[in-house]
Amino acid sequence: MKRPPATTRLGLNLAPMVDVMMCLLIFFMLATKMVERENSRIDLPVAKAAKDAEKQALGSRFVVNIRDAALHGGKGAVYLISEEVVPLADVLQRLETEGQLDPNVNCVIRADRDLPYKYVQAVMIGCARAKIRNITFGAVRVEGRTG
Amino acid sequence: MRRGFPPAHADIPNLAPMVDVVMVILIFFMLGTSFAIPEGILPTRLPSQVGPGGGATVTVIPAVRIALLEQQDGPKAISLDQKGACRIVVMGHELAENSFDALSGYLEAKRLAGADPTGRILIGAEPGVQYQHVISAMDASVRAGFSNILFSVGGGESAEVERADELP
Repeated sequence: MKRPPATTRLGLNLAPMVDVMMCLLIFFMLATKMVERENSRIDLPVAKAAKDAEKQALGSRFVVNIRDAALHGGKGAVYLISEEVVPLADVLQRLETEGQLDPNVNCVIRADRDLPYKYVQAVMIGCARAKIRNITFGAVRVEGRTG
Repeated sequence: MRRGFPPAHADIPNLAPMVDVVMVILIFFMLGTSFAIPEGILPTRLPSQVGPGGGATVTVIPAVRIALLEQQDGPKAISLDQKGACRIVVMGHELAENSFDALSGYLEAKRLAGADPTGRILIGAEPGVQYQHVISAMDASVRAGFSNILFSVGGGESAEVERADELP
């Protein structure tokens, strides 16, 4: 009597998949920057003459983000410091404190390009009052969103 | 008694748990990565006069004074190519061609005619003017070769970054 053929165990060869996944993993690991987020996603104004932010030594800095309040369900603009929404009075208070701690602190203003200038002006006036002389505007060389 | 050799696949490690973990890590990094355009900066400094009196009014005699005015209805209201147009006034006169390229051209011509590139360029803007236009005016000045750019910040008893006697 003829014996039935021995059953063969079929297994998926996962090696190529692991290779590809490892490549992708390494790519994304290198592309990711695990830094403290102090910059909100903002449509910065376009300026062809803007210098590369990473190559400039800003030293001690204080970043003020100004976004359209419509994104937060309000009107006008909202001020953010380290991703936290704060009222303008608090921003001015923080500027005073920063100015006292380090007069050479660099105030980086990152504002939405479509906002009226008065919201930026308010921070600049705060810098003048806090005796902070270094002001830097965030900008992009080409149209787009940063973050 | 055992006969023959064990099947070849018996020694292959089970990769499934490793694939699971790698998948999770991969998804984490994929979501955590943002391919944003590199950010640039336009540095400026407040005048040294703004010191102990923080916000004191100072009188500045600029080499060039640029004013950005909110657009008003009328024959002089020329639209820019960007939304939220404004009028560009240089030394009290509106530019014939109301664009920031024209402003850059005007400033460059002034510099080539002998103007000091370290001379003060004073930019003033009405509160309702779009922030983009203010930065564009600064950008045009930098592109024209000027480096000393100041801002006037008007407004009641507020402190000032730099103020001209009046906006043109």
